[in-house]
Amino acid sequence: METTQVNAALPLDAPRMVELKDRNQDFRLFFRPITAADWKKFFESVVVESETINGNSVQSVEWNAGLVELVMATLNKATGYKTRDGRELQEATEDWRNKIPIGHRLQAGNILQRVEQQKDEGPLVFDPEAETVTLKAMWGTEADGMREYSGLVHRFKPATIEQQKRVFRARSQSIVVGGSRTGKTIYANRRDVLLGIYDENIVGVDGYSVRGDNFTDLDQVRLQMDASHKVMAAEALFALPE
Amino acid sequence: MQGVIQVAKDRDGVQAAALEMMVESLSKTPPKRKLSDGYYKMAEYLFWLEGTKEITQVAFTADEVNGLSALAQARQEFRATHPGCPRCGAANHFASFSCRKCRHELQGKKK
Repeated sequence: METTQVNAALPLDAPRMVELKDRNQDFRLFFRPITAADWKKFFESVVVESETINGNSVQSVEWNAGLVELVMATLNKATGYKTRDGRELQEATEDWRNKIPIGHRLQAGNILQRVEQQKDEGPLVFDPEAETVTLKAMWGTEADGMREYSGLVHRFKPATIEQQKRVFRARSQSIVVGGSRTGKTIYANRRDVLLGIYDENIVGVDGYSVRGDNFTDLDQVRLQMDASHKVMAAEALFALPE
Repeated sequence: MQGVIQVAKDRDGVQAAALEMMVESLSKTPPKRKLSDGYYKMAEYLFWLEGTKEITQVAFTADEVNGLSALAQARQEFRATHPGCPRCGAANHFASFSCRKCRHELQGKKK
């Protein structure tokens, strides 16, 4: 799989495509627009837990099942999966989604949710009017192929104490299974809180486009912004200094 | 305590974690923790909440009020076992010979 890094605007409304390479063969998976409801379902499936093993705290995150479910719910076309008679798998069986190797579905899911904070070298630069978070993300479309988009800027008004409290409280919520001393801690899902704060505090974005234009209308940003980007940007707002 | 525990509601566990964290803060090499991680996360949050309520108004849930009270009790216990140095005020284990900060000779151990 080859990807290029670009500074072009990320086309939020274009149907997404993921390219995979396996044993020198190329495969392409096409998705319907991934909605906030799809992401919400995925976020709810993520399990973050920690356990003390030999006196050391070991944290684990389980999201594979949710990723496969996300792919299965949004995948609407696949090419490159040829049957013996040369037809595409999708033409050969109605159950084609289940016939795509699980490894491909997992890899595609991982690419769909690949977004991270862009940490440029050099001094931190501050905006006096807003708090800024910059992201980079993998995103593929049929027209442009797979690319890594950088310079995806999210500007926020400063969080209130009440909002800080919501985030810190959400981070602290957990249940312990198997005893208070040796049990496993399972953390509560805090992504709903982050999505709420994103929508409340966003004042502008750069680096994204809808219908070919950079969009500035905040209601549209709240509506169209990919929920995984919202969560990552809001999480970065409350990150502790490194 | 066994079974499924909602950490925010386990006052004794939160108090024990808060006390452990206070003791840890005196040590250069923190001892291994005794409770599941969730308790320390909750105690961290309560420390933040306790500091924040000193400077601004914050609304609390019932669990938070219980948690803050557990924190206050942990602090009381910590102070009883870690009295302040009469010279510099730093907390020291009650059995210490000298202050870990200013090396002032302490009396507690000799009794």
